[in-house]
Amino acid sequence: MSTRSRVSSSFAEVRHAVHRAMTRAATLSSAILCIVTPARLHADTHHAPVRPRAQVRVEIASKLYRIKLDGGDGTRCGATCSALETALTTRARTAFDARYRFVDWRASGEQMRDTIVVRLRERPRANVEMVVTLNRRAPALSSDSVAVYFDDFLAARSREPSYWDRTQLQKVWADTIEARLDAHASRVISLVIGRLPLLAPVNFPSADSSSRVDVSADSLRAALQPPVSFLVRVVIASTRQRTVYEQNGELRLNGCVEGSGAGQRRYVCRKLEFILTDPVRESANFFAVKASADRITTKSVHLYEYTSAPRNTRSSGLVIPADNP
Amino acid sequence: MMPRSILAPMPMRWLGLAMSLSCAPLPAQSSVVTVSRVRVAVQQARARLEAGDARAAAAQYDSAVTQLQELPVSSDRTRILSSALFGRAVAVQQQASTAVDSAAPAERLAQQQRIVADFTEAERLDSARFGGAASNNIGIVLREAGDHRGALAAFQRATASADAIRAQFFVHAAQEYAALSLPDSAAQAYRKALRIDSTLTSARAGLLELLSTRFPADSVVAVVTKWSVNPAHGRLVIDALYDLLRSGGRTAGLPDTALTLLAVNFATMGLGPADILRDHETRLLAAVQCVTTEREGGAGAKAPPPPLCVPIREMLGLAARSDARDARTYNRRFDGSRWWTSRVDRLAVWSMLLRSFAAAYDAAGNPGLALAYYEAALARPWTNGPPPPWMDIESIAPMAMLYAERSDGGASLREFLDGVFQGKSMAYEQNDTARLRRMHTALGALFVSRAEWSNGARGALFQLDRMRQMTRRLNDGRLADDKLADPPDLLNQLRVGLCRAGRSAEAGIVLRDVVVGFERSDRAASAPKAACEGAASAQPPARTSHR
Repeated sequence: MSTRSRVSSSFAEVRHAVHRAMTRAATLSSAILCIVTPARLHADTHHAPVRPRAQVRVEIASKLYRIKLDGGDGTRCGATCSALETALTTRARTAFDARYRFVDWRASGEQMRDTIVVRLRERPRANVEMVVTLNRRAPALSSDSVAVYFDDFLAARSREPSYWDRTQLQKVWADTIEARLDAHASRVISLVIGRLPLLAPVNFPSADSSSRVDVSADSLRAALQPPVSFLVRVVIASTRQRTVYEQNGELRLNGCVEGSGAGQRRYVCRKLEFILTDPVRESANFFAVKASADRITTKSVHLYEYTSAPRNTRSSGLVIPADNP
Repeated sequence: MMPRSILAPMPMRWLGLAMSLSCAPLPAQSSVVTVSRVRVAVQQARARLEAGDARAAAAQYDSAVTQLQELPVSSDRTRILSSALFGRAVAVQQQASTAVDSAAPAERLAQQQRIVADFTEAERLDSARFGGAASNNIGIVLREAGDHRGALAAFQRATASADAIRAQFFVHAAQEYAALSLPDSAAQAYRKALRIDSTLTSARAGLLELLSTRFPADSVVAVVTKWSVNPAHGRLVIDALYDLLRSGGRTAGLPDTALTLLAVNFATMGLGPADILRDHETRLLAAVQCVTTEREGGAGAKAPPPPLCVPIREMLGLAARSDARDARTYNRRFDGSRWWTSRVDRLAVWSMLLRSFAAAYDAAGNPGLALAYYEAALARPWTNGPPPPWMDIESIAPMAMLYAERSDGGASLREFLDGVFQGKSMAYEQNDTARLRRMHTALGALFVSRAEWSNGARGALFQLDRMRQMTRRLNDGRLADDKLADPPDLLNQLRVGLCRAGRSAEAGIVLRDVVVGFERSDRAASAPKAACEGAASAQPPARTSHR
């Protein structure tokens, strides 16, 4: 997984992302207009549904686990294995909903474009690892996965049959999955979950000014502290000798805190890093590139660093009523 | 009897045009208003609030309050009324904080008073449910109105409640202390929040920000050093360290300390070479201003680069060329690591970084490079005596596991463990308790993974027992809120091992620490409930040794 090999996506993917964003924008605006007049829209950005929708699914791919759970040769996930996958998926959804609240986590069974897969797979003779990956129905923006240690293969192989009781495993493995998510939180967000695109307009900075991302902390269910970071994928178009060249880049907006302007709550980011992603990844001066480019357009906006606000509170700290009066 | 002014419906002006603009109708009015019907309406209002439609929620809550006025007093009515009042106040406050404010000051003040009155009444009616939350929300309202003293008093009342999110109320109180220029009280409130809920990121972030802005730099260093052991705090700690790097130079030695702590955190977070290049190359170079200015015509070449550019480039060089290391390089002779290998303390940090790279290669399915980097982290081979003091002790267990997979019949593992035990003997001779604790922890983890429990010093029970002894010895000299804690998962293994060895009374003692450890890491629900829970299903202690 060399950094140098992580190259930007193709133009078809860009088109796909843009089309998807426009389709979603059209759907959303009609939904919003049902409730408030356009003039009021800016005051209610906290409920603009900028959050991407996704599902989470747990897969038991380890042959050893499958054999221990259902016998056979482990090429298929048998009845016990499938039941355990379902139970772990339910627990994982709750766990993801508490940790990555900027995503609207949907129940399994709904047709979803994006699914986060938590796969328990084994490496020969070494260990069982947990791989967290973003699966997209259509090939789109490239995504990484995060692989972390889950269990010791040799120890697992020699465990007594009673260890493989489904009810107990459900509890133990759900706990392990959550603990691994927490220990590798920053990588899981930046490399996998954060790859789900947000519907958020970005204002690029001119020299010495701040970047602006027009979403509120409440709409992302984000805590006000610590600040969030956004990753904005951009396309830079420039003309040389009457030929238009396009390059891809990534703008990392760090230390973004919520502020307000014109009655709208949004993020203001004072620090930025810029990387040109093709032909090779290299740091560059954003302002110099911007000055020489014909135009810079946003391809997609992602969260790179994020902390959820506690459930039942708004980002301001206001506690909202409990579910059941 | 409720004060009429509180139960009265909100004026139409206050509600705005919410009801007429909303497409979704309010529940159909029935000729018979019952508590059950109003309860449903309150639940619907709550759902609207959750969905972000504060205007419609406020209207529906207001309607519920009006309807409840008509009903005879009962415990159900009181419960729902308190919910409706609380919800109405939240919904109106939320609207007020997001709307473009064109209201006159007197009108805003009147609205604020009505919100506070609703919260106060909800708390009076049902203090068990709204005691903390209502006071907290009053604090938020007053804070947004600029009344920091009033807000602080409200947050202080909230912190005295038994609310499940009391820790968050301490954070709000801390923010008001800071706003009132009372940094010591603010720091104390943040620390109280963390004692109640150590996972509360806002408290950690707030405390770090406070220390960075109002206290000397060494306060930040002390805190981030303590937090560097937990990968979950890595992001906050790294941000604080970058700030220290950027502001470096004011205190002698501070930038060096910040950089070494940064490397410690890279290792704690398990970052591999690709992670460092992707997320930190630009940040590191920019933090100490050693960015080359190729794109600007090399203007920066006039001034010599800051001294810290050397170690930063050494670290980035290691990451950039990591894939190309061949087997010979593991003998700690890395080119271009002069700064990091010039002092024992830096060598120790460098070794941690090498271990982190090794783990990344191990996870990526490259055991050859993993082995090379673990060996480098451990300063292998130990041909001229015991291992050096800077070796990375946490590399012992994974290194041993990799050796165990070799096809040399366990010879590598035996030779390796003999060296480790030799190093441990030296630590005993030097009475180095901290080092001993880490070695016993590493060996305990290794023997647990090999299911070797009862084989004297070469068994998990012995090693984990000694780990606990060393922890107790170290904690004797530490303050109550600064005690070390053993890894809860290893303690849990020890508990099970003790039960299997028939030592259930000792398992009961260990259980207490296991539960505390699970609670500390926000996994209370997964903690065992009884001393020997799960022991019957655990694998039996192996009697055989690797010899």
